[in-house]
Amino acid sequence: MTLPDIFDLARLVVGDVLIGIGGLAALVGALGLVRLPDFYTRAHASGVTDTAGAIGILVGLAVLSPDILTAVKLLIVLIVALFASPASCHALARAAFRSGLRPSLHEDRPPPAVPGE
Amino acid sequence: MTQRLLLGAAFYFLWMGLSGHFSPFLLVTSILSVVGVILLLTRLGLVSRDYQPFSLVVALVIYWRWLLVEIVKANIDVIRCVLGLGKPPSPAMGWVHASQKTDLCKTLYANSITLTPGTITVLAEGDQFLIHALHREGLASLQDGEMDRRCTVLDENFRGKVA
Amino acid sequence: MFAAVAVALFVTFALALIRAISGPTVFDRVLSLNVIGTKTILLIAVLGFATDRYDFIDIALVYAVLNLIGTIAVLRYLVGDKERS
Repeated sequence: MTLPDIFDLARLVVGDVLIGIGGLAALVGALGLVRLPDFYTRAHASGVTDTAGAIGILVGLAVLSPDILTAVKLLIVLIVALFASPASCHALARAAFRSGLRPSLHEDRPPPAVPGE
Repeated sequence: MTQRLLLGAAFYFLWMGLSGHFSPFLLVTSILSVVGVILLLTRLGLVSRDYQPFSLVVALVIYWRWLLVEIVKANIDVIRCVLGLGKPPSPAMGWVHASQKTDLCKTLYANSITLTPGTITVLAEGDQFLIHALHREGLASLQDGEMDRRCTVLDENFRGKVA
Repeated sequence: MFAAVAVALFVTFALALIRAISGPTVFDRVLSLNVIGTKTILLIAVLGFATDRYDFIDIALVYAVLNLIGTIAVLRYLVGDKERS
């Protein structure tokens, strides 16, 4: 077994493990979307699929990709996704809060209305 | 002008990365399209270091490496919570102070909070962010201010290079 | 492995669809659609690799950009940024 062979095998193993982790994280995030009690906690679950799922699968595919160009494209997709996901998540949470949807909090405390509380 | 040249170079590399064709004809026409885009952006008033902070690139990459570790840690927490293995959710909400001066670094801080699973920036009013956290500990560690401190270092870095 | 991940992503779609149908608020539905949008990007990339058609990545890139614009458009329609417009 020559050095390039070992390198290819390592690439295959690392890439497969990464996309496996990404797929599982996406699955758990969607499970949280169904299981968690209110909108704001579900938004955290969607954060798992958006970060761990996307990072795992896209980095794993980049490791597995046959040429540099495909890997670079995958990383561009990842960067766009990582910039877009918090923006849309924050816009969604803000829209929900502005429209009067209040989270149910631990020990039934009301959310603080003004800074400093 | 330096800003436009750097932006043009960035666009050109992006174009090459996305196309994958390196024939002389396409390399020349791509220069034309890059110049066209820069002219359009100039007309729209979108070429400025507030929109393309090239001076921050190195510091940002270092920050992203730290953020990646935080994201992995937070992901493990939330995944355990969803599967019912760890602590049950104890949702908390509170205001967090952002000590950055520029809008760019405030956005960076707010986005980092939202990107880390378990904490979401719900409102951003001036230098105060309203945070919703899946666990009380998540909110407490934000109020501790490790992430805020790192973003403030980037902010001072950014403002220091104006002068 | 690609097939296993693709199946996991399809199950993810199904779970997100359950949440999108059951609601209860409109924000839950938008959140589910957002998750489905992100997973579509990943699924396109994975399927491109599974079938050796690497140009699928370009389509995934376009989806990533459209996904962001789509969500913002829906939310603007729902709430309307009064102080911005």
